[in-house]
Formats: sequence, C-alpha cells, structure tokens
Amino acid sequence: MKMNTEEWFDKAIAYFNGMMTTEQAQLFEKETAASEELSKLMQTWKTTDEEAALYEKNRQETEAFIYTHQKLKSDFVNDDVKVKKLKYSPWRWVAIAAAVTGIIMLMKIFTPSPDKSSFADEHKKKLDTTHKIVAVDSPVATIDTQLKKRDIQLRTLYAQVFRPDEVPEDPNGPLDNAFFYYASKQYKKAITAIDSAGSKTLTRGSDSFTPVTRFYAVYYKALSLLTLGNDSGAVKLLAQSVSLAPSAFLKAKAQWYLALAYLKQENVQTAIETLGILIKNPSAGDTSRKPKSCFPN
Amino acid sequence: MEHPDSKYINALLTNDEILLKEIYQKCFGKIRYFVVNNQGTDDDAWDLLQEAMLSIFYRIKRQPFMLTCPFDAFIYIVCRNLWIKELRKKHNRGVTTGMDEGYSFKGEDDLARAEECAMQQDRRKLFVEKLNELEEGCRKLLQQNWSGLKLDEVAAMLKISYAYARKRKSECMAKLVMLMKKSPQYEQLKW
Repeated sequence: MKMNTEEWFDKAIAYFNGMMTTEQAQLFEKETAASEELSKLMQTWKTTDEEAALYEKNRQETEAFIYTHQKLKSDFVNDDVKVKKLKYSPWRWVAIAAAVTGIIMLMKIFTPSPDKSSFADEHKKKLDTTHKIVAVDSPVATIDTQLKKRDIQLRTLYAQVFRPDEVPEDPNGPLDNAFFYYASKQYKKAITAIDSAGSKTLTRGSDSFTPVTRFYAVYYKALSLLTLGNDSGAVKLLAQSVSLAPSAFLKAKAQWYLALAYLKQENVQTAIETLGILIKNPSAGDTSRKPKSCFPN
Repeated sequence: MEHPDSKYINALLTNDEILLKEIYQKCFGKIRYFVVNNQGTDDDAWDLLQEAMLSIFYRIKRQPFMLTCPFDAFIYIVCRNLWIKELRKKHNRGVTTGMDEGYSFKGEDDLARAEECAMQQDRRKLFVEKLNELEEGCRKLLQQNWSGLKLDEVAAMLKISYAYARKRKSECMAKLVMLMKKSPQYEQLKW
C-alpha cells in the first residue's frame, strides 16, 4: 500500500535519525522511490540540508559581499535617474504642440517682436548706451521691459515643455552604451559613445547601422547637445534627423524637438512653422505605429 | 576552455571591489533596461543583481564550474530568469524579453548553469522564509548544526543529550520540509 505524506514524514524522522534497521531503511527508500511525490520530498529534505549548511558556513563572506555591493550602489543607481514609462500618447503631444504654438502666437500678438517692430528694433540698438539714463516709464524702457518679458516667457515655455526623450524600448545594438549614458543623464559620454559607435561602423562596414539606428545616432546626439545647451549644434542635427527619420512617427518626434530647439534660440517664427508641420502630420497621432517611449512629461 | 572573464568569478569569491565594479559597469545597464521595461525600478534592478551574484557565489561554492561565456552575459541570463519568476509570482504577467538575443552562448552548459543558479536562489528564498516560521528552538538547533558544528557539539551547547539532538534535528527538518511543501512555490521548484 502506498504511503501518504504524513506517514512518510513519520518514517523520514526515524530514517534520518538513524533509528531504522538496515532492512527498514531499504524498504523506506524503495517505497519512497516508487512515488514521484515522495521522491521529491526526499530530495527536498536532502537538498535543503545540504544547501542550508552551505549558506550558514558562508554567512560572513556573503555579508561582506552584500556590504560591497551596497557600497557600489551610489555609483550605479542615482535616485534622480529613472527611465520613465510612457505617460503621453502621440495624440497628447500633438495637442501639446498645438498648445505651444498657440502660446507663442499669443506672445507674438501681445508683445512687440524685434523682427517686426522697427521702432523697437531701432531703439533696442540704442539701449546699450541709453539704458542707464532712460526713465523707467519712458516708451523705450517699456518696450525693453516687454522684450525682456517675452524672452523670459519663451525661456519659461521652453523649460516647461522640454524633457529629453526616453531611450528606445529595445536599446540593444551598436548604440547600447550611448543609450545607457543618455538614460543616466551623462550626455557628454552619450555623445562620445554615439561618435565611437559611428566610427566603429565605418571600420566594420555599414551593416550594423540600420536606418533606424542611423536616425537614433543623429537624433540622440542632437538631444544630448540640446540638453547641454549647444542649441545651434542641436538644430543642425535635428534638421538632419527629420530627413533621416525612417517613419512618420519618428519624424514627428524629431520635428517636435527641432521646434523646441528653435524656441530656445528665440527663433519664434521658425518654431511656429515647425510645430505647424508637426500638427498637420497625419501620422504623428497614429498610435498603431508609435514606439513605446514617448514625449515630454 | 576557460573564459578570461573567470577573473570576475574569483572577484566574487574574494569580494574584490575593483573587479566587481568593473563587471557591474559591463552588465548593469542591460539588467536595468530589462527590469525597468518589465515593471521594475532601478532599485529592483540593483537588488536583482545582488541576488544573481549571490546565486552564482553559492553555485560555485556548491559545485565549482568553468565559465565559458562572457560573465556579463551569464549574469544577465541569471537576472532575467530570476526576474521572470518574480513577476510570475507577483502578477502572473508576461515579460518583455528581447535583449538576451544580443548575447551568444557557445553551448547549452552556460544556459543550464544560469538556470540552475536562479533555481537554487529560489530554493534559498523559500527555505529562508520557512525557516523563519519555525519555533526558535528548532531554528537554533538547525542553524548551529549547519554552521559546521557536529550534533554532539550542538547538544552540549544546548545542554541536551546527543540522542535527543539527533531526534530533534530530524523533527525540525520534517517541520521545515512540510512548511516548504505547503508553499505554492514548492511545485515550481526543482530539487
């Protein structure tokens, strides 16, 4: 008759305690081997006893390792560095682009533009020499204040809407090191890694750089430059990435950041035009084609 | 043939901070991506790396093996296996894989060993959890015996007879195995 597990445990206590005769022990082993469930219990008992001894004997060494591991944590895990999850759908950032365009348009209407107001332009040139003696409420001072206010508004708007894009969902490939640095906010290292991946590709041949990788190389380098404050370098590369984009969605992403780069350069008109193109882009809101990583938080 | 990355295994055994840092620089980025893309955080990734390193440490202590693939590939697979099990336990959800394809393994041995490390670590977690559920007397007796003391030494320390210590150890082991068997994880583990 087959032993149940309760009976097995009773016998196992005697077996492992050495209280069984040789014949009893052999019979117990035979009965155990005949059942898959009981064999597993026997194996669990033996493995646990063996492995537990291993853990206890190496307790000090493992504690020392855990100490070292935790000590190294600050070199690798920064609380500020989190790879963020998707929070905005493409439709939502198209809406943001439209809203940003609207805000810029309003700013253009309610504050004099240096490229349209010749009066303001003419007097602004004089500001360097006249600023100190012009009364605060004079027309020139008012225009100057308004211009400064608009500059501040543009910078504020840029700061509010600009967030570096996330790394792609699958960062594996020739740019994986660059993505690591980029996600860790080490933008200078990210640029170096992108350049290095590019030169390796040149020496190996172009087979490892797909059109998507090529786009990412230019796009993420541009975003790194933009984050580091090199606006003109970013504009150049973002314009290049718009033309390199292998899909409408990636193109829209590049256009968004290109518009922001223009905004940062205070090139308001071009920023509006770029955002206008983005809003009209029929594929920008096509969620079926969107990559998982997305736009600003 | 032994892989040059075997030095990292020695680093793990000797707690060599410089080499540990070096291997973390090679592997942590990918582990982090995997974890963060699969419902985890940076902290989870760091803890997972610790668990994986410990599992390799115990596996080597139990049965030394020769590394034949890059260590970062090996540790990544261990981490991936551990995390997949963790997610199944928590949410019973699918996992976004896709990064391990970047690693190449010369044979099945490394993959099997990586799986074994993760399995051993799962057994350890279950064992630790259930050991803590035992009454203190049982736990003490077992731990003292496992730490290397012979049963007669344990008996002397606890001021009990050797025969009683032997019997008690078997009873405590039976309780522990029973508790482990009752756990939902028991059936998924290989012993």
